[in-house]
Amino acid sequence: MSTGEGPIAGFGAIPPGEAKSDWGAEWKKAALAWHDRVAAISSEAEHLAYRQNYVDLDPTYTDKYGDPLIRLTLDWTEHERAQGAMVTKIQGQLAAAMGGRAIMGTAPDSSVVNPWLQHWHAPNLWVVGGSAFPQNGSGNPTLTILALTLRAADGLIDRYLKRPGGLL
Amino acid sequence: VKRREFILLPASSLGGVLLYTLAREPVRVQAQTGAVKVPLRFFTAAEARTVQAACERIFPSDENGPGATEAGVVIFIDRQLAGPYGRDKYRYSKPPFVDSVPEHGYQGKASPREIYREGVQQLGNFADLPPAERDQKLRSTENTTFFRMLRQHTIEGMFSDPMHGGNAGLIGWQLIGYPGPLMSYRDEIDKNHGQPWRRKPVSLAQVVGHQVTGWEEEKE
Repeated sequence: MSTGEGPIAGFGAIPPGEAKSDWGAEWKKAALAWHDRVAAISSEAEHLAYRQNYVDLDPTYTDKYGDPLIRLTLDWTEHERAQGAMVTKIQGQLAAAMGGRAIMGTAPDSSVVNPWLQHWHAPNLWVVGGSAFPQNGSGNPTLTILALTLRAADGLIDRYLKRPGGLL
Repeated sequence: VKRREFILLPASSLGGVLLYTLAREPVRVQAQTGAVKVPLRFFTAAEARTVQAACERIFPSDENGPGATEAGVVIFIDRQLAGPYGRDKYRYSKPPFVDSVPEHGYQGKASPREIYREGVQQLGNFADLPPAERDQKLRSTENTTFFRMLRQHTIEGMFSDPMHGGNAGLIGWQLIGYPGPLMSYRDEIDKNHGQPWRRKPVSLAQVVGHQVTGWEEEKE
């Protein structure tokens, strides 16, 4: 899975221990091998409107007209640090749950669910969500997940309920 | 008037590929021509030789594919330093300069041009050393601003659009299978259904159908 960041920003990230430094032949080999096999999960959190976070006019630095620059003062508190720790933990759970856990395919020997998102071996088990994708592209998959879910619902109601069993 | 300086690149390394670096025009370089003379905009010939040798150790040409020399990384860096980036046109660079935490990035006074001039001088006779000694020398500078910059620029010169002087012949994109700035695969889907298929990379100029120039070409 690509980081979706393009060829420059996405290049050079390798798992720990793959190379001794971040340049040279050993690194190049690992970076090429891992180029489209690494992904990053990032989160955005918020700073609450604390009194100590504010913007004012900078007392020292000026722009090209001699006017003061804006100065941003922002201090992290225990709240933001705790938020960071919690988000990191959730990211680990997300990484385990995203794409590729119950992949959809055309045959039971190479996939978990059939194109109706119905389990190949347990017809009363339907698995909807991003877990059906063998891998994730860089684009946002939400609409595709919704479309697949609607299709699974159609299959469940129109076909399965009338004649329970494997649809394929 | 400054005497024009050139770097000689062996044409065998650039052989048969399109080199987009000569006087802003794409030029096809043939292996038979021996060597190609690329006019430099910032570096002296000696500096370019040192930088090229260092980039080659960072991203070497080896059994895993072509490297910085084939991609023309030194030409990419030379152009960036000659342009607005090199002289810090868009970085806030008024004093006082104060040290800060690493996550704030480089906070120093020196421009990329100055950092390179100094850093290259420190490398001394680098290009004449045997490879193992070159690596040793680079390793001893690994944490300097100059080296971090050189490493970043080497990656940029490998994988940026060839309009910027590197990635000659789309060699970097071929290496990682990057298709270029394509908007869609719509025209290809039906033609290759069920077949493993990878598109030949295309540059921005090829996609838009006319010549494109980078911001390094901006006039003072």
